[in-house]
Amino acid sequence: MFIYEKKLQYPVKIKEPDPRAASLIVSQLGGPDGELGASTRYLCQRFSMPYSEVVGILTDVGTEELSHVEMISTLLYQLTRNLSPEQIKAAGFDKYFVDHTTGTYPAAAAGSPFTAAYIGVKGDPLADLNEDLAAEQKARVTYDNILRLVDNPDVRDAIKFLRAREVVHYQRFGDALRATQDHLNSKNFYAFNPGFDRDLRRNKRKNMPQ
Amino acid sequence: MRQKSEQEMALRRLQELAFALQETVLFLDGHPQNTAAHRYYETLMNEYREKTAAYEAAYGPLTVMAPTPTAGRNARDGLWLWSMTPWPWEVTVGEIEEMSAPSPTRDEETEEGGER
Repeated sequence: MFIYEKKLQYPVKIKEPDPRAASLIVSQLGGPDGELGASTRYLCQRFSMPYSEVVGILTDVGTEELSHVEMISTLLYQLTRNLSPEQIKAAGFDKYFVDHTTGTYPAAAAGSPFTAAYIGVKGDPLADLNEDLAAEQKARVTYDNILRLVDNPDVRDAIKFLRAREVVHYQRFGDALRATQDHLNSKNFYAFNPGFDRDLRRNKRKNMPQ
Repeated sequence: MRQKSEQEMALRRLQELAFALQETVLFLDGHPQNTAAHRYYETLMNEYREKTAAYEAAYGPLTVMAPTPTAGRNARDGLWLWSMTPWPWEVTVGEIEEMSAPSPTRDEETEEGGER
């Protein structure tokens, strides 16, 4: 089950509202490589993982990503306080504002709403873990891109923390991939899908890849 | 530089401990038999539990269901504290003013602000 703790993982205190920055940072909430996608991906993938180490890593990284959803949402909330119509227009925030006012809506910076099409769950540990490695790199690049475009030091501080976490998660998924490979026959990692063909020693399954 | 309140400093300590715990947990997930890491986890957890209990006694609950004894943690003067204390994304008006105030070393004319 899930328990909510009433504290942010890392502090977010934005002195100056900045709706332009908000219109970019929203991609890390609901964009293709954002935190909502990350948490959904990992929390879904864990159910078909046959190895406890991997279930643990997916559960605990997936839960941490929810705390990152909260940090991004907090950034958006604080960056869009007390806005005048002139500020909204000048910042290019008007298109988001017209549909969501200053509410927190998971979408990409260019406007596409969040979708499960952003995530993959293949039900095969090797495929899923490789997706996860790529996902963490793509999230890291998105944070790099935000840092190129946003000067506000309060925002940069929180973004740099989140970026560093992506790099650490990449390393943890590397651990998970190695643990998975250790369980498999090094002569042929693809002899079967350990997320599906589990009862090999007891029953011969039909239709297995050779 | 804005002075941090005692509450903010206490919360920072909890955030630091929770972060160290999270890193330890992720390590242990991949290395379940590392007993040095088990011990490190226990040491951190002891301080985290103790400091969380102290924070909650002073400022209100951080979780809605605490499995440990929590006299006085959940209600004060008849008020249910869980929902009625500030939420983590909220910045109080006082905090905004403090954050925006000029720092004491800047040489500038003050209005009615007076001294810092």
